[in-house]
Amino acid sequence: MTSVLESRPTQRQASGATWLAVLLLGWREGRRMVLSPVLLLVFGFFMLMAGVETVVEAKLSMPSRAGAYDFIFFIFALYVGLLFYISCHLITSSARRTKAEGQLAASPLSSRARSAGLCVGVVLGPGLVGLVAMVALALLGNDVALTDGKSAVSVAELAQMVLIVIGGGMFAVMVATWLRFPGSLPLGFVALMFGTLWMLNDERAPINTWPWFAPYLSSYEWSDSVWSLQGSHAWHAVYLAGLCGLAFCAVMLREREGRLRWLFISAGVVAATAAAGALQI
Amino acid sequence: MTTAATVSEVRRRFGRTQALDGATFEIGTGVTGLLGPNGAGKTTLLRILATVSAPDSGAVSVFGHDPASASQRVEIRRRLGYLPQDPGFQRGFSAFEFIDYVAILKEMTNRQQRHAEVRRVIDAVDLTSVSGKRVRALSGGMRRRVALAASLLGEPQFLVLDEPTAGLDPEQRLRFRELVSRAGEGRAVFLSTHQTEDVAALCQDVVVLDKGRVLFQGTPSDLSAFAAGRVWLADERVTGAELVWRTGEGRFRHLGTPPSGADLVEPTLEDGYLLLVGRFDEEAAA
Repeated sequence: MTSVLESRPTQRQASGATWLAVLLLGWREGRRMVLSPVLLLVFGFFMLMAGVETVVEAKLSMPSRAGAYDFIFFIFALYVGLLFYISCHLITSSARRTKAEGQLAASPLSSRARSAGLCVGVVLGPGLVGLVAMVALALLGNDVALTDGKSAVSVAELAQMVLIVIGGGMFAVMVATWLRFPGSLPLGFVALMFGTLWMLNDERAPINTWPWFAPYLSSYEWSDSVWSLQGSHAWHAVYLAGLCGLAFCAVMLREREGRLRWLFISAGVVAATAAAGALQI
Repeated sequence: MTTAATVSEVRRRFGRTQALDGATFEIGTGVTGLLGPNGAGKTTLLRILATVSAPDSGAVSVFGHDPASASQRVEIRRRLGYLPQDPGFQRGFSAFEFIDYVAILKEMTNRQQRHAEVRRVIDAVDLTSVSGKRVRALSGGMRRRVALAASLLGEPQFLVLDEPTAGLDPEQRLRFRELVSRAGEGRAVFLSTHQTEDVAALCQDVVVLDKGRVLFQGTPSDLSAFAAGRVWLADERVTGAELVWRTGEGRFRHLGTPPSGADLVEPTLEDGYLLLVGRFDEEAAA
């Protein structure tokens, strides 16, 4: 006569702490992503180069608020977004690359929950920095208005910058989750960079507002000697948030179990992103 | 017998290789050893029991839960500790950080309790002095102990260990025996190994697997008894024996059908295992 060993509930189970574990994991992964040597080294190099360039330009009396605006919003966002992509891909794929998946796969946090933790990690770093910047911007008010005819820097523009960095990370998690082979990092990098540049090239654009659909900042246009804005910064920020949400849905759809539920959620996010895309212009 | 897990007619194929071919057995409380030659399907079986992999057919049950169901799989994992054969470690982690990371994945969310538990398992595998060192800077044996410590987190009710003593020095192997012996008290430990001495010293039950099939399940003494009357010592090498080797004392130990008047000796678990697997291989070849 045999009996089955009684499976006693554990302390962990009693606390029902799965969601908390995901957040904790997100905090841990976010720290790894932000402190990734790749990100820090290349970012440091970039800042050094930018500093040298600023000093050289200062001697030539060239810096302006517009220059600073372009530097912070266009170059910084582009570089940091791409660097963050690399860092997040390395962290996401690290278990696969180091063959640590076996031990991790036997843990109660499912593969989907671990992926969700990675996505939380992606949001945490840039999100916290962005939040501080937005509070600072709110306190500074209109003092950061530009001198060359562009409007004041808005919270929506700042949010876009943060969302581009988050988007780079989300795209990385998506690529590393779906394309589980060596070489997926450069493949995704090329797709992200050239895809964005292709969409930003309004000369080849099928419609003149085409660049607004790129996963990048909304920009002013210089025409007839004035800077004009063809759409809404705020809606573009919502559109970018939608793209981040789509990448998150794609990550969640990687696991077969519960896929139908995530397909419905994804459909909602697609509709919301499309609506924001239409409203931005 | 109190059953922790049952494996029934489990089959698993990788391309043309039939890794598991209808394996059927039960794992009870205490320490159960899994023996088998290379390629017998041991790791595949352990991965299935650890819910990391799924069988092509057959049934597996752990604590009465079916790992094929997502919700029941989580319930199994909440009570499971798993040491893979070739554990990997993400770059940049110290031993403490890696185990702490695994503790988070085991839903240990209270920082104080988690850190206390991490320190406990680090101490259990005697790694306290190097817990702050990067895992990649540690020796192979130490890295194995880091992974072992991670598998011990939360005092799991079912511990699945794939070749846990590989790469450990003799002192660490003895410490490991003590650790596993304690872990098997009132709980279930299933360990795969090539070290028959570990099985003889630790296990209350032993399963022998070859070519994906279970050849034997019973106590270590039952396995030793399989070779009773078929092990003898002689001063010269005798032809016709299935296996012969020279012992430390300079005599020849023979396995097989002994000649009349042979100096029969008490068989060991290793003798039983070698004869069992050897006979099965012969039958398979025929």
